[in-house]
Amino acid sequence: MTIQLYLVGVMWQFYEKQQQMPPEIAREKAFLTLHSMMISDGAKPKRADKQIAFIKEMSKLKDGDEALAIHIGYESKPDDESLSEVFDHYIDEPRVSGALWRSYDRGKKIILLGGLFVGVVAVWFVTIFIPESSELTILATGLVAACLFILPTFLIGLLIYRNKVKQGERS
Amino acid sequence: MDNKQINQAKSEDETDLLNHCVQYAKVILNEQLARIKSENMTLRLNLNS
Repeated sequence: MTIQLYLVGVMWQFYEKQQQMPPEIAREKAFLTLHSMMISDGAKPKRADKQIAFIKEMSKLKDGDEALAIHIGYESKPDDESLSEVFDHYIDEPRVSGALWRSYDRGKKIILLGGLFVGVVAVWFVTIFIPESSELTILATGLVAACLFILPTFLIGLLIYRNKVKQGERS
Repeated sequence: MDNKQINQAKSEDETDLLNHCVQYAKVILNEQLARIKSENMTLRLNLNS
């Protein structure tokens, strides 16, 4: 979405400065052009309509100012570093798209290896200390133990992400 | 030219302008993404050296 907001800014600048259109019309045209780009890139019309409505909603801040990505796109010049500037602003912003995925990507090794370890320990424990257990019981114990590790770890990760978002909203 | 022809010409102009704007935005975006990619590569090389 950050890139789409940036593109709206670039296209707004194109219509207003290169085609001499009034600002409000140029802004509206930029959204229409983004809609057309999404359709030509293969998005379904209904999905594109929803996405444009959402981007329009996100394009204005609570105080009525334009969103940062739109503003930087609007002020961009050829051969500048405007897009990386947008990302630099969002570097510590957990709400920006991809942050949740990156956290999951970092934590998935811990979750999977931890789950595997706990499962193996549970299977070992049952095999050694309750030898009369059936194979199915041993397997089920391993799976349940792995789930008991994976689910809480995943939930703790989500909780940390939620806290980071709340901290970001406060600051 | 009658009204129909005028409207058709207007619509063609609008489509041309829209396509022009799309091309402009795509060029800018690709240029910016290439710049970020090369910056990222430089950063990685610096970190590795």
